[in-house]
Amino acid sequence: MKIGKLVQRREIPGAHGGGAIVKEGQYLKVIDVDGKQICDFFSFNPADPSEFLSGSHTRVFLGQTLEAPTTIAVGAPLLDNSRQPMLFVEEDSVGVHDWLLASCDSVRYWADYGLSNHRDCKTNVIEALAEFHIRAPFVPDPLNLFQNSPYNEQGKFQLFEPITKPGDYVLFRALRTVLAVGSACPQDQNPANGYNISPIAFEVYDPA
Amino acid sequence: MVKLEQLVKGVLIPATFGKGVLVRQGQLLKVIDVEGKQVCDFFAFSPTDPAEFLSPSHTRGSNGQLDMEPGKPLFNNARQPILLLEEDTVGVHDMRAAACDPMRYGMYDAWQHRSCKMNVFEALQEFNMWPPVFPDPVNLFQNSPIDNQGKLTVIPPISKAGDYVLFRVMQDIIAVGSACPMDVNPCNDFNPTDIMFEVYQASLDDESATGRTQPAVKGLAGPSGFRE
Ligand SMILES: [Zn+2]
Ligand SMILES: [Zn+2]
Repeated sequence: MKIGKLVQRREIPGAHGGGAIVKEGQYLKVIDVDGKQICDFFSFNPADPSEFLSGSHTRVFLGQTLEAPTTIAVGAPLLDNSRQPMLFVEEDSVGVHDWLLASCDSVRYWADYGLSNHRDCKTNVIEALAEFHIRAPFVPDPLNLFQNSPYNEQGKFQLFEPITKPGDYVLFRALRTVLAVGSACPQDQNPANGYNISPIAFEVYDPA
Repeated sequence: MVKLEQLVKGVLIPATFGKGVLVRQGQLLKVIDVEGKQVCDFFAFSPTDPAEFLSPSHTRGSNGQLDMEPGKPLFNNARQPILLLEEDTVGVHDMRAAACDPMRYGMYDAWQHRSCKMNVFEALQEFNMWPPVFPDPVNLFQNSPIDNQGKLTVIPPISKAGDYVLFRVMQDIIAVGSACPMDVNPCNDFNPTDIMFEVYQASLDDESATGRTQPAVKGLAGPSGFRE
């Protein structure tokens, strides 16, 4: 894949969130820097944050038009909640992600683990948006990049360590200008991140 | 079987339209596929905060499974259990597909077609509510298996006339249903028909009523629960 020059690199520290504007035609590389780290990923229309990347709309689209599994597919677009194409998946060095489960939140940590001051992806997203002066009245469902949580024949989810190695990535092309937000998931109470929370990097590239 | 006492309210949702009803904590909500093979796109909003709503992704995560199951709760996007599935005469529903909207019909070149999204906003207007976001539905009676290529498909529902799901309501909600107008694919077997909502008072001698309506959040997932 031939892409242009790097215009921005933002490292999102482990257990925190961050965002980057990706202009139409630019590329966004989401990198699992040290490996085995989930990135809860979101994409918003910066002019109207009630338009966001949507798994439920993309699944219907992929199901109908492509021979594709129900997560992301290289060579296929991802849609927003008005069914408009938003991002195009150019490359994926992993192929194991989740697009069915909600982000971790404070309720999750105190209800299941008795932890009242744990960081969580939902809060990370709200913080990341605040940096762009966007107050989200809600946090949409994430695309859980690198998350390894398949379900079995009985429809029960299982949770394993990610299969990612350092430097594994997904490369998107922005089909229109988006605010991409990532949370380097702070979940350290189960194998989701290999019990070792590490950073995620966003790299924005110009077109070739 | 839950013993249903007094019917508080019945709301007929005419084919291709949407309606809502306020259901109080402890009451029971029965969603009936009147004639069979009809999908009801189902939503539940907090009456005091329309940014809090029934969430398939939180339900999947907190239950650790793809589908709803009798005896297990459904969660809102604040991860609070708001409904308990008491009975289900069908067992085939969908929690993965978005509701139909004008764009969806645009794909079939039917731009003027009614849609579930429009139906929900119409239904909420009666309550002077305008949610900041249109949530994902629980598509009751929808038959959307994943085929062996991994594609999400839609085939006719297996529900027969009178089939239903029965929810116990754990927090006050505005329940909204859309009798899905989709008639250009097999979703409703090409024949959209009515959906019925019935709201019942909980029976006083129903032991489960008191125990289950507590908004018991802490430790809900339990030691064996899925902890994503
Ligand atoms: Zn997380
Ligand atoms: Zn519909």
